[in-house]
Amino acid sequence: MIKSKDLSKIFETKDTRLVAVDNINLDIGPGKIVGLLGPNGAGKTTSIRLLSTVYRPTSGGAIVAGFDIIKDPLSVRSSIGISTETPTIYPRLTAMRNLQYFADLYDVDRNSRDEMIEELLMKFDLYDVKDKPVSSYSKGMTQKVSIIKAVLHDPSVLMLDEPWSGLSPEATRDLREFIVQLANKDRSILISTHNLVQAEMIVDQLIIINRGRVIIDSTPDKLRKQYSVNPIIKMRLDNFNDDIVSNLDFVRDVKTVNNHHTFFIDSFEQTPDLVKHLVSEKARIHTIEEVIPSLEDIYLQLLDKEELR
Amino acid sequence: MRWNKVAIIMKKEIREALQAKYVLFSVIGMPILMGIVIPIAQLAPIVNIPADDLQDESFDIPGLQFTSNWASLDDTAKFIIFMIEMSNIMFLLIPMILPTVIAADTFSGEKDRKTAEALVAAPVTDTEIYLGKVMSSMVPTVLSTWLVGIFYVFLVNFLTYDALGFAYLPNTTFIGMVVFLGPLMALATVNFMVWVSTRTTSTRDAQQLGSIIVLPLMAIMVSTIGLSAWLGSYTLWLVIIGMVFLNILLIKIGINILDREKWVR
Repeated sequence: MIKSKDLSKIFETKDTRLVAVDNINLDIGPGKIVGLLGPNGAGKTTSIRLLSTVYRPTSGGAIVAGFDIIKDPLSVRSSIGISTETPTIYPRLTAMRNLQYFADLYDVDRNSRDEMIEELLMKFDLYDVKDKPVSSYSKGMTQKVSIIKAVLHDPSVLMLDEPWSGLSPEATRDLREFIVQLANKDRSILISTHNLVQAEMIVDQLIIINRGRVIIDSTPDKLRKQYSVNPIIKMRLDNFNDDIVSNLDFVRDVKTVNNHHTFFIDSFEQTPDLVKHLVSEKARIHTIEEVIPSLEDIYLQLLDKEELR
Repeated sequence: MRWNKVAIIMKKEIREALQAKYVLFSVIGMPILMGIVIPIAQLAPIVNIPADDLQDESFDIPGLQFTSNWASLDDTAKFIIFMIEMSNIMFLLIPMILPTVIAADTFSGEKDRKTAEALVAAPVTDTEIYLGKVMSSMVPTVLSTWLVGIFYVFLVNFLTYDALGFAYLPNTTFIGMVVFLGPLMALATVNFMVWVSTRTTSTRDAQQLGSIIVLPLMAIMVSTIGLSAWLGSYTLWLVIIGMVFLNILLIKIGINILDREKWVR
């Protein structure tokens, strides 16, 4: 559903040259949920803008929803739904007016248009405020309107840029479930996000980009195995400093926030040795927890490595 | 080109622009002020001036067409006609000024509100976006100018009928100005505003620069009035034809200027 070949975008002015996207090759099939990760300025939004035909590639190309982004951008636009990082909803208009406008632009059948919009508004808990101007909405409510806008023409490819931004925990869960439902209907979904906790729960594939280049393209499981990320021990400690464990070979790294310490060790079998050592050094242990590394932990560890800097 | 898409964009743009109080006030208030209040304030005091009081004034300016055409009338009538013709100018000024307010909101406003990406990612062409937005500035301008123009004609005739003995408006020149030249002036202004919006980052900047941009159009307007006053109303129609070609050129340039990427970036 999304297939790119050496997709590149270079922004050039008289004095500057910025390679925003550098020869990206993507292959996202139907029914797949793909997370696009990377630090700020990595090229995530530019990639989405290229695939959604907002930007024209400097070189390379892509087929999105069966259409060429260069030769047939209008068909690409008709077949995709996009929710941008900053919700592009007209603040002076009501949610209903906004959605009717986009439904008309996307040729949604006029006879069923309002009924369908109202159904989605109900699903996203916005029905009661549908006739109020969007300017009176919270950030999360505006975000929901933006997501409804992206799906109301039932696109075969959905691109969501930071979809969980500003959403409450229950709305976050509802959106997660909604995305999975769409994937079950064979929709291809590309999610650019920093919310790795949410992404981990639903993505089938992970693409990490930096400086415009794909660094990692894998599944979460493969990623864990591939990068053999260290197990983690989280502790709340007093009377501790990093020097205490500096002579322990199996402690790979320690991260500290106030008295909360995260130890990256070789294996959980070494936990008792670590505890014994800390006690012997008179550190006071309040709590201790063994944690299987999450996607976020993997990402942060990778970020610490040179390749993501 | 799909005109239904142009209409969808236009309707939404008008609906949104009119939600802003300053735009609404401009669309309603400016034509009333310029097309009714000011002209009537100019005409009302002079309709009853006796001809003898105008002895020192001469409106038989050599070559001035619209007074020499009425050579048989007394000086009061000529003065009234002269003042009506001067007031008619307002119906070229309104279509030049009003679109700067609306166009600044629809083009630069998208940048301000960061809403452009949704539109450029939608299945519409550059031409459809451009024309939809141009029409959204044109339609309220032309409709409000025409509506006020109708009131103006009735009011002017009501005020001057007794003094002139006939209904002076609408005449061919007035119809040419209001029905043809006014909308063409509005269209040219909107096209200039597109260019302005590509070089400004906010609605306020666009409005400020837009007020300067209309100056060349003002020069065309003044020249048109001068030429038609001395050379005859056929010059007005020549200017109208010229404006048609100018607008075709400006629209072509405007569509090329409307760079989707720059609009979003």
